Amino acid sequence: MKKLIFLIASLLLCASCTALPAEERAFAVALGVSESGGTWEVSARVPTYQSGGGYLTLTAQGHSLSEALAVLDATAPMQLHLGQIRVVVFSQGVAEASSFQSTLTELAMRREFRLQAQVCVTEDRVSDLMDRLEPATGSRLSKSLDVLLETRVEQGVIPLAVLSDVLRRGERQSWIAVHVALEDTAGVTKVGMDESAGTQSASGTGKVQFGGGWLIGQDGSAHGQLTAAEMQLLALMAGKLHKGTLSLDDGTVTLIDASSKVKLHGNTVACDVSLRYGTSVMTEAGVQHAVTDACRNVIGKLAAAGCDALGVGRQAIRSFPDMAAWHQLDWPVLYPQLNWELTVLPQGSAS
Amino acid sequence: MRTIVKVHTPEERLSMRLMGERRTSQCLIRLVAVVSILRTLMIRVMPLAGSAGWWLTAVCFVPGLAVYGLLVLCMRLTKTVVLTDMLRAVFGPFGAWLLALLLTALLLLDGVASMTALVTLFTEGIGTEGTQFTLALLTGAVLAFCLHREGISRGAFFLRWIMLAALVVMALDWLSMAHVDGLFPVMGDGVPSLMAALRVGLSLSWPLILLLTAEPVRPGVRFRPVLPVLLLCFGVVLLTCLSLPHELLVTHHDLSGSLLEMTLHLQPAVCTLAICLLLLTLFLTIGGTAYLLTGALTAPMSHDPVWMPYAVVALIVLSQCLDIRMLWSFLGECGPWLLAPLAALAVIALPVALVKRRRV
Amino acid sequence: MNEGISASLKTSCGEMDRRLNRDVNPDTKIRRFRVYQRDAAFYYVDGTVSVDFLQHYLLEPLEDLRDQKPEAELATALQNVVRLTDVQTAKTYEDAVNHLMTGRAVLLVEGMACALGFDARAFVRRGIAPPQTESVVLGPHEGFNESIRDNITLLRRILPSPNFIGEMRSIGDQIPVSLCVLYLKDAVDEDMLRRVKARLDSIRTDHVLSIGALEQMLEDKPFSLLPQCCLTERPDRTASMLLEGQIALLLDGSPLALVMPASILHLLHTPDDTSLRWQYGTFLRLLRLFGLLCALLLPGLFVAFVTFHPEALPVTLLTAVLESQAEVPLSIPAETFLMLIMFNLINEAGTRVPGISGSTLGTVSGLILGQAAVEARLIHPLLVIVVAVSSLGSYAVPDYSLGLAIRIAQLLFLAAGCIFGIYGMVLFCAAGTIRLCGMTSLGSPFAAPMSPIRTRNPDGWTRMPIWMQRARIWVANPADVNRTDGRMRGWDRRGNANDR
Repeated sequence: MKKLIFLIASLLLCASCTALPAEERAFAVALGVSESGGTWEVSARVPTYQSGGGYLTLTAQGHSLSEALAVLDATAPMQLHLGQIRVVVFSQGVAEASSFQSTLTELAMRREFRLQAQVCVTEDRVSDLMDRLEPATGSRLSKSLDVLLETRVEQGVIPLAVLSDVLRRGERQSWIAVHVALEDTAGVTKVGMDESAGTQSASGTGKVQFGGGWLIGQDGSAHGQLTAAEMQLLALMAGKLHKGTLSLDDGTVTLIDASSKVKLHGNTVACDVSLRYGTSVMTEAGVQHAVTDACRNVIGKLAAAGCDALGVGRQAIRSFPDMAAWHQLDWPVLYPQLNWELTVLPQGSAS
Repeated sequence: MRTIVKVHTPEERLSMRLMGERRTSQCLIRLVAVVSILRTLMIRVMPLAGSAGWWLTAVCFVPGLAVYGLLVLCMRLTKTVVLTDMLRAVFGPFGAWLLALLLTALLLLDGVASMTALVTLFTEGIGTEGTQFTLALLTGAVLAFCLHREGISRGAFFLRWIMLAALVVMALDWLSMAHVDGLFPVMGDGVPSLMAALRVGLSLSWPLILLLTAEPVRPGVRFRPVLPVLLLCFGVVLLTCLSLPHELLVTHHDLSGSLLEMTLHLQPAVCTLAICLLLLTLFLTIGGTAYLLTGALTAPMSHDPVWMPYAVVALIVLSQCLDIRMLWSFLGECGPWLLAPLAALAVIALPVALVKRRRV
Repeated sequence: MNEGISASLKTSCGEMDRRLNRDVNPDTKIRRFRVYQRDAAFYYVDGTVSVDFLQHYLLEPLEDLRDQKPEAELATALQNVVRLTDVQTAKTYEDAVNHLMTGRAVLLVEGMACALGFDARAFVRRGIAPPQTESVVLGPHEGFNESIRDNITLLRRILPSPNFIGEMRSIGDQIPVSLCVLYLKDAVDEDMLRRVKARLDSIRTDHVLSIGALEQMLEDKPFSLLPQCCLTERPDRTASMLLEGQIALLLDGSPLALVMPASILHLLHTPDDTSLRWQYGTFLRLLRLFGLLCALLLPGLFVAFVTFHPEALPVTLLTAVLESQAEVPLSIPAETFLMLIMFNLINEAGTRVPGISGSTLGTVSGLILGQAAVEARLIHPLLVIVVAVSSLGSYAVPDYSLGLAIRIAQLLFLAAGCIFGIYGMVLFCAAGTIRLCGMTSLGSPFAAPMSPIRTRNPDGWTRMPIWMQRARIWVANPADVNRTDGRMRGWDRRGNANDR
């Protein structure tokens, strides 16, 4: 009897097999999504699995994101697998649309989609950007992107905009998408420390650079940007930047250690930033003044965009008994009207 | 370090061996209880309660604990240590049979729920080829192949640290994405949602009563520790609330979505581990249900048919011939009432036990 | 059949000749002589007795009595004369033939209605050599040989106690072979012993050729993949198990002892663990456990992850696998199966080829086949590493039977992983664990003391210090669970003052 059961189990196991040989799948490393005039275009950067590396870009179009992805699946030389995606790049148009959040949710619900992918926005042509994605170090684009993004996040010049994190913020905290762009022919990026993002030409022929961020408002769509320098200040205020070099209008400050506290009291947000710095041409008072001004500027941009990137909403929601009361507060309208009390306490190193 | 070893008499040695066997039985019952409670919590209660789930879970435990307490009191009054013996003392052989039939029905429903959850996990969560019935048949065949009365409980006992270790790995990953504000707003979507959640969750702790159907680990001790089960379930719910905001928890998911919601945002390797743990626990629970159901049904009998666990597994597999949505709907309708018969039994047994005790 | 021996020498010799087939079987010799004024005859099997012994200690003393009369009853008188320690009387022809077949010399005398069997055995046998399958670094290097007497002697040297009992019996209906049931009288559980004897008594077979065949007759679940008894070549290991209250069986002609009941832990322990300090012993045991898990699960996990769950793998590893896989004609599951089968084939060939050639063959085959296959793009390099690591893991398992079981289970796990991914492996693991825990060895749970919990020493997955192992394990006689009274390290007074 047990032998019969074993036989039945084996046959059923075989019948339930879903195996596809791994070498018959294309593991996309990057995905690009853009929309223009009702036509969605998706691009996937996949390795060619030749020794020595090599990547190709697959592109497809459709009347909706699902349709475009289906066409991409159908036209790809191998079955597409999105389980190793490192970055998802959206065009500015898609990011600024009111349906951006639902687009993200739709992507996230696809089976096997890697929720640890970083969400990026670009004002360049997405398919061009995909074509330019090459490994900066070694021959593996995935490893190169991992290292690059990790380094940039540690430097504070880009936010940590992992899709899983984005979805888990809900209504209580906004997020910032990573700004990605092509270098122009002069090698100057739109994400340079001393340039405002978005003022350069949209066409580029150089490498891909990550720096700065796109502010996503309470409505889930992009409203404005921050430069790389501004992103660093935001990271400082959020308590995520402890070491690095801050580029301010009056000079640079080399951070040794920093801490920050953001506290909501009624309609006022108290943001206390303590930092210890090493070398700087500015005096301590000068550093305090410069950092305070720069941070105020960043707070202003956040307020204008309705982007609660510092998570003040997470504190606000604790005062409400239920979601109905929270919705009654109308946090998206209240947030830009909050008063900010910014205190910066610099401390130079003894020398 | 004290290294004294006592010399045991043969009776003491036998008693220690029986204690070992009882520990394995209790472990299996606790596993069935944890899986059953968590299944109800994740699929039924959390989508309604959201961020209020963590404290509502504790409230949902109260009815089950109350019935448990009443039954322990009855056992104390009748000087018995097992539920069947208590009901036999109070109601005669009818009481034992009543409990047997009641537990049969409850465990059968639980087994069907676990099997449905497993099949849903396969078909909609993982996306395996095969129909609902085929996958149920596969699970049933594997279970029937390895089904062994003592093997199921000993196997669960053997794997307990491995399952706990996997849970700890998951917990650490959840903690890495935890935010305190996940516990807020405290009332979730408001009182009506909470009342609805409470209604569906009122009976979720009925499996605690199963602990009283098995012999206690130490002879003569009536109270079985329920804290490990409750703490584990509470811990998982708390971590889920901390790592996922209310808005995500109450989003309407498909059948598998609720099961997998808590695993989706884990790191890919940890997510695979989580699904494996889910699979393993559901599989062991189905086997455990068959084992416990057989034990419950044969408790008033004098003999122990060998074919009974296999018949139970076959019955559970056959239930998958029904449409899966209909099954979930039916199980959802039955869920809030599962504790009611046990509560009624406890409420009726207590005064009868008191009266009998006075007569004695 | 149990015909009594006749007092007439002519009749009894005729019957003996008939039973021994002397007309066609020249091995059985007969030496006629006269003693106590009567005719007599010695029967012996050529090659099984020492002829010199026979000559000096039997024939010569008896021939000196050729013309004398016996001072007592004939059989008694004869026993008093000969200079041998072991003399047994056989009243029937069957017993007399049995004595002959076991290497005794049988004496028949005119007027004596019985036969006398004298132990003059001198079988050709192998000397004491190191064990072939259980090597240790520290510890004795003696192994059993094919002589049951030598093996019992080896054990008696290690356990010189009057409570060390060796009950001799024979097994086999048509051609019996000597079997010894060994146990420590106060340590063994009487119920367990009764069960073993009952099983031995109920075996119906013409002959038992080896201890392995006996194992298959005695084990609880013959269709199970895992062995339920412990087969060991080592006297020290056998002795340690006897001290724990287990029962050992020795079969004449087999250089192994069969110990039961056994648990899964017994199959993973080595004598080295005990000889080494507890830190090293624990480390080696955990390493062995890791090896076992690698052997069992690594190939299946590799295939499962690459085929079904690539998102869980680091992308660099995945890309490396896929780049090399792109040029390989076979799929990963097929490659893995092929590699494992090839490896098992190399292993088997190396075992069968004798002497130095065997190990050389294994090394060369592995290197050449592996290297050549990679260069010919038949398999990819990472798979060679996976298979090599898992094979090393199976070799780390000390018990040969368990090692074979693991190599078979490895293929089953691989099949489950290939067909259903990690979920298939989890189901298989769960099913395997349930079956393992449901198994018994002589009625004792096979997965004890882990599941169900049993009284034990701290000597399971890890090996705690020897001086903490004060109790015998759960299979022992419950009335004598203590191995010692008082502190083992009596000189060490730094511990708890109340510790006895």
